[in-house]
Amino acid sequence: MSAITTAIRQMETDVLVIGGGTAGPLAAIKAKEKAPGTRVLLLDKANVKRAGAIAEGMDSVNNAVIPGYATPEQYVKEITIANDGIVNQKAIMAYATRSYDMIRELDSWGVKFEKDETGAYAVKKVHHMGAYVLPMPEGHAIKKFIYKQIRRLGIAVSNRLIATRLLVAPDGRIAGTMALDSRSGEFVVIRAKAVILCTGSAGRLGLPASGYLFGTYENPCNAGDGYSMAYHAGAELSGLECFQINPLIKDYNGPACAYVTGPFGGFTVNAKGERFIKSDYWSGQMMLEFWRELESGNGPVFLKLDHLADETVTRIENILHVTERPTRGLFHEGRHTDYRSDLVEMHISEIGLCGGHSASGVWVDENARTTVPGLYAAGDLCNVAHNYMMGAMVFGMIAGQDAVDYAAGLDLPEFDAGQVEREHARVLAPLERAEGLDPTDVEYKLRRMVNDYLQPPKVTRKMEIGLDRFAEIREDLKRVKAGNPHELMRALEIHAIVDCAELAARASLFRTESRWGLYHYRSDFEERNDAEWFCFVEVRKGPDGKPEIFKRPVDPYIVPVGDDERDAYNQLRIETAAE
Amino acid sequence: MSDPEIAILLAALDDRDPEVRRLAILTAADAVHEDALPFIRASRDDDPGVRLEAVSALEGVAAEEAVEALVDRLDDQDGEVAAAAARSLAEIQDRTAGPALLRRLASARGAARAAILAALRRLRLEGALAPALAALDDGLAAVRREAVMVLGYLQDPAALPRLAERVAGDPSAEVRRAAVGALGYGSAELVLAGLLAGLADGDWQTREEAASILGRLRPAGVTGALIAALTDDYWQVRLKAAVALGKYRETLAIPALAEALTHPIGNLRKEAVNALGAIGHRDAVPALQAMLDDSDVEVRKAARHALAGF
Amino acid sequence: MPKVNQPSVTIDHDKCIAAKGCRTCIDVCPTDILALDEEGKVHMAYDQCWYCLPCQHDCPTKAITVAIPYLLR
Repeated sequence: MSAITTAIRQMETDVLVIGGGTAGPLAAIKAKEKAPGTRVLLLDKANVKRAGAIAEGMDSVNNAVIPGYATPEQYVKEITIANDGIVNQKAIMAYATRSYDMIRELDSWGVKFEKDETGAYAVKKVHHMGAYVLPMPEGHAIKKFIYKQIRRLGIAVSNRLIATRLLVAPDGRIAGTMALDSRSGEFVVIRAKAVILCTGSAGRLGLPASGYLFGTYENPCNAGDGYSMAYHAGAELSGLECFQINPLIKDYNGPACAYVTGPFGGFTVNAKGERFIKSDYWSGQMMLEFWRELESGNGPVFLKLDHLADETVTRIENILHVTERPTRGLFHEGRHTDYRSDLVEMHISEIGLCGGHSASGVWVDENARTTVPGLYAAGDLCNVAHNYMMGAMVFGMIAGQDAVDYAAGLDLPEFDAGQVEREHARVLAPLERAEGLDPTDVEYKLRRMVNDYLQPPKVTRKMEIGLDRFAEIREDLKRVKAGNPHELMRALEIHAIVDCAELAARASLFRTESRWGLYHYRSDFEERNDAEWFCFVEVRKGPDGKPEIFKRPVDPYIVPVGDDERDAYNQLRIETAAE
Repeated sequence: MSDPEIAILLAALDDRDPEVRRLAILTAADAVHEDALPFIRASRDDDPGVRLEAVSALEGVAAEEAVEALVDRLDDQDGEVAAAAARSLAEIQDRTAGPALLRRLASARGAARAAILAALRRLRLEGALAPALAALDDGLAAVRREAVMVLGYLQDPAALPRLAERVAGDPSAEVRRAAVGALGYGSAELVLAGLLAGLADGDWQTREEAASILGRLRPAGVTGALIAALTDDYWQVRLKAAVALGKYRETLAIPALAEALTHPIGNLRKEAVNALGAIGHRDAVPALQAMLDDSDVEVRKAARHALAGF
Repeated sequence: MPKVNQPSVTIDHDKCIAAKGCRTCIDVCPTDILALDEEGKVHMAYDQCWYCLPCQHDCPTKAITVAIPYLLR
């Protein structure tokens, strides 16, 4: 064992991209295209070919901003309203203005978007204001086409490396990362001038209703590593109280697919067979309505497709059972569910942190820069609200292009040898222990506690107790034993999960109001309080090593949202007393 | 990949064991991206598994020899290989593949003809117009459908009469439906007859598509047909007709739309409400007010929105 | 090398060509749960399956079948 544990490998690059899912490949591709002489290294804990949330493709673009269907201004407005006003509009606009070009570029790479018989994009109107949904019925091979571009440009790829902590230079700028090879157990130090974090959501936070640790909504590789690494590097994290919760098939991690089935005429109903969701945009408000119905006498909730024609159901099956979650058909078969005759029981997902679906993540500006010089974040990891897959790609591009400029002319920053030594010891400790706790047990207990104490409705005293439990589990982590590098990877992921759990609890306690529907629903502070809380809640590691929580004002809007517009929207989703 | 590594792979392509050859292709496909020759050679391998990987590795390659090799495999005795060859051809983005594809199209028959047409669609080559028009008379529906798609992408007004002919008389519903969709690029007057034929089609999805495109193009003189479509056997067709009539702001449609408000499918009631709101005639107000108590929240929302416009 | 008792990922060893050097499924698994055993055969080493299917889809000889893990079924 000691032969494994003593090896330290050194690598060097100019721009280091951590995470080979959606944002990461685009960051690497765009960095290399802009400056072919720049050394770009793309890292993934799995294999870039099949890494990330879109390993088996994507069935729809939820936020396409295509001329003739929606304008960037309209989109920014829609996201601002859906997110209860707490957005960095400049960042949302940075996405919106590049959305169409990104779709066309992906199209030219071979990625399939739905088109009509004349070759025009077949955009569907699902939301009330603009039309943003661009189906991808043949979107299963999206990773293949992106991977081809990585090969075309000869970008260096390193698979099965799990980054554990970022290297920070004495002057505070980023200097690279430290990583573990999950096959060989080798400890790796990678020096870099700029680092782009694209490690996805914190998807292994809550425990799914099934109790299966890896039956998560998000790809379970996305354990929150990036949140934890950014935090320990001193970066500011934002909106960690704005949880991700999604409507799901009961017991299976397939989404409700309102965006897929909606255009075909499918919808969500309660036990009376009646449609009940009033909210127009995918938001915490929608989830609150969903959850209330689940818990009410009208529950549970079902996906209804049995009123559709047989031909239509077949088309839906050919999308939903092939792309993104291809075992969905197998699951339904096991439960003897046929869309033609049966309603599909729905539930809500476990909680997570995810900029792509809600708004929690590493704080970035419209250039994808974090608050640490040289450190970038993109994709589900960053806090650009409701960014989804296409936003991950656009922000990956922005980060990659900005990072090559930043790195140009810069020497490799110095790093602290002491930091490497401490991290080496921390990372490999579980392998050295002759006996100890099983990582699976510790993770199960931690995530059960997350469900018990953090799942909305959030209750002050419960979250305080949760913090005590998380602190105890931190102590337990000092006794975890790993039998091999694979188990060690899992053990290290628990450190990230407990960081995310603690920070999510602290941010939630700090914001003493309710906002974003179910995402931050506090039973002891039920009202929204704009006077005190029209701001972001930020977390960063303080000088004492403890989390520092503070408010960040919302920048003045670049796209004003009139009261009448907000009301027009609210009027549709809130049934007035006059009715 | 370094030269010695490629040399090892190329040597493996001559291994006696077909599985070893197959793995060599898989490895090479992952690493090499410019030299298509080893894959072209392997596409003629005796073993179908090797041919399958080789043909897949040639995906999207536009070089003439690669196109030729893929077209050769469209008639492969192994169905999986033939299907993979068709997929690989359909991924070509580069118009330099055009001449080879057009040359092979001239002599292609059956499924191979359909596959080459499918590969030509995205390239939008002028030279594809005549062969696509000729392929509209093919005996195989799949060929006619791909030909329709090529013409839809080319958007040449000269093809419109032939597309309308397909809508009116093709025996395959798939072809008729695609032809209705392809008519979407024409000017309203030129495609009117074809779309009306589509609206009267025996296949409900063709009728649905026709109603939808009529709503988009809004040619004169068809609202009567759309009002009639509000009593179609399929609510899906009625729904698109309601959307279209809302865009026309056709007051004559008010009674039929009011009738649709009692349909059991909420999706249809919602669009009928939206259409009545868009038409904006006071006669519809009582009917819309009644919808404020509908069992479907989407219908209630739509009714509130519609009434706010008065 | 650990093994899972009732694996959700099963491998048909008559079709599997790992012995010839194929590592496709092992390479693409995001959670890295597939491994070679002492006899050079692929098996599911950890009960950490996301039933996402790249292993099944990318296997050149269609040797892999993924089932929904029992807890979800």
